[in-house]
Amino acid sequence: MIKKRMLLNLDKLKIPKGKPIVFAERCKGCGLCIEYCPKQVLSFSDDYNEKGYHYPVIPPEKEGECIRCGFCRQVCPDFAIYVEDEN
Amino acid sequence: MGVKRHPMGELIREDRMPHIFCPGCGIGATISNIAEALTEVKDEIDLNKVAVVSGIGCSGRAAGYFWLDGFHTTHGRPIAFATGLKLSNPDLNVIVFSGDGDLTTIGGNHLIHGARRNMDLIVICINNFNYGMTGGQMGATTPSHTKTTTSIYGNYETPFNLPALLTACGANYVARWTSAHSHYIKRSFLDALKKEGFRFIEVISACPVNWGRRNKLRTGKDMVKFFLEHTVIKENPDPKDALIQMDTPILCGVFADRNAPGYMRAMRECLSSKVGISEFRGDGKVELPEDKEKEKKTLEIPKPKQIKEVKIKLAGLGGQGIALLGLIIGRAACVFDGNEAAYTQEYGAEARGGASASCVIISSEKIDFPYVKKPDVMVIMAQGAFRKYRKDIQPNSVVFIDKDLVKPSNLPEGVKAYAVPATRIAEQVGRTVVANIVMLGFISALTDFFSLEAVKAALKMSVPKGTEEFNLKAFAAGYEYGEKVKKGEIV
Repeated sequence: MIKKRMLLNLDKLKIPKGKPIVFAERCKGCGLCIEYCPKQVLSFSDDYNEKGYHYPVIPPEKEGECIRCGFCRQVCPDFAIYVEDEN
Repeated sequence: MGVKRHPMGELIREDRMPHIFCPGCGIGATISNIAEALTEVKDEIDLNKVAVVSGIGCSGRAAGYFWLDGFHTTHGRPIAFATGLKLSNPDLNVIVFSGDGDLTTIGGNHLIHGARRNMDLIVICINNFNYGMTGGQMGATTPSHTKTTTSIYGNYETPFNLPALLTACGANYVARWTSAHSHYIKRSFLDALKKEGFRFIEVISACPVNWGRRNKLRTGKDMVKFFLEHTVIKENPDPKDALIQMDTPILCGVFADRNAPGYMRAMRECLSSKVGISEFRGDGKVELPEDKEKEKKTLEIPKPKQIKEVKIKLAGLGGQGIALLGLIIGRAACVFDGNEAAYTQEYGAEARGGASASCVIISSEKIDFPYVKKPDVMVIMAQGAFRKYRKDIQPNSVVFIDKDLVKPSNLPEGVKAYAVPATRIAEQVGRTVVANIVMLGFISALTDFFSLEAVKAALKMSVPKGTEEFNLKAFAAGYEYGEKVKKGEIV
């Protein structure tokens, strides 16, 4: 039997968990965070912020799926999103 | 639970958010990457010693969004300002954060010469292919065949190849990324921070509203996608291939990574052995070599002689030493007699031959206005200068002229003219160039604006080393002639 190549300490590894925090009033709705989220956690909100843009929200069914990669913070030009550590 | 803060809140002015940049703009992302890099090294470098200098344009706003010392400068001049900043306070890490229009077009020469000098700066050039803030006009970095408001049929010019330009100019570190390469920008910035000399990072930035809209890249998302698909990152790329063309991928990478000595180090190495100062700073914290006391002795000021304000205008041809004559008179009155003196010059573009003048004001009181309009004393050493400045001769003033060279006519009323064959005496002493010193001797014999010792000391201070004796001889000859005139032996 060929053993599947796996990390030896796989069972000890934990998938990091995070929670994106959005500053809705700073968002300009460019959508980069939504585009580049590897888990597609974020989506546009239905309501507007005070400048008239749709900002990203986490829909209830995606709650807890964020893996704290921080891409959204890195691509955001407006300092409107970051990920909080949930672990 | 308090108000949530962005992790970069220490470095980014959250009170000024939302910033002015358009949706999808790459400048915000770049600021974010730089801030992230600085947060990473905040234990190693003192963030109080980091200054951001920016110019005019969208990216010029960046200095105002950092919680760092910032300097929002005039258009095109951030490198000039930053150079001054670095020279006066070498402890600073100066970051120039500006746009392509500011750095490469109006400030193009500053950029080139900053790189040539290898000035110790980090320059982050946001290249968004157009003049964004003014409405998307074509600039020096607009790629060929792209449309802007001023090139609606497509740009037929060739843009700057910035990595090649900067590499050729001798910058120590040249890199190019796009605003989509956030991680690379961060790493590149950290690498640059460890180096010295001129470090240039070109960030090709998304401008969806002005450039993208006219080139089928309407949103920030489209532009980021375009950047990721239309770039190649190479190791040791050739700067020659870095010209941005829309049909071939944009070449990114580190184009130059040298360790040539930066400006500050080169200056220190060259001058420390010559001047004896090992550290050069502009904020007065320099320790001067032990010679200090000696200079103090010479500078001990005797009792100032009280004199009324005297305005002296000296005129002659370029090369006669008119400027030096004025300088010696001013120094004698100011440095060695302890009075006040102001000295200005006026001259044409010619180094030799054009009529030139210098003005000196001597007074015991403070001098408010340095220019001389109505001189009390005129010294004229050439006919050409007499023609030009005759209108300045005031009634009842004193005029000193060179007897052989100036033939005065139409002098106003009450003018007292003293003539000395200064050039002839100088020829007899040995060299024509000391005619001005002969004239100085003549003036000091006939006037009492400054003491004899003071003018001799000033003369020694001002003439080239090794010629003091010779000049004093000329001075003595002029003085002697002046004494004779005073006694009425010569008219």
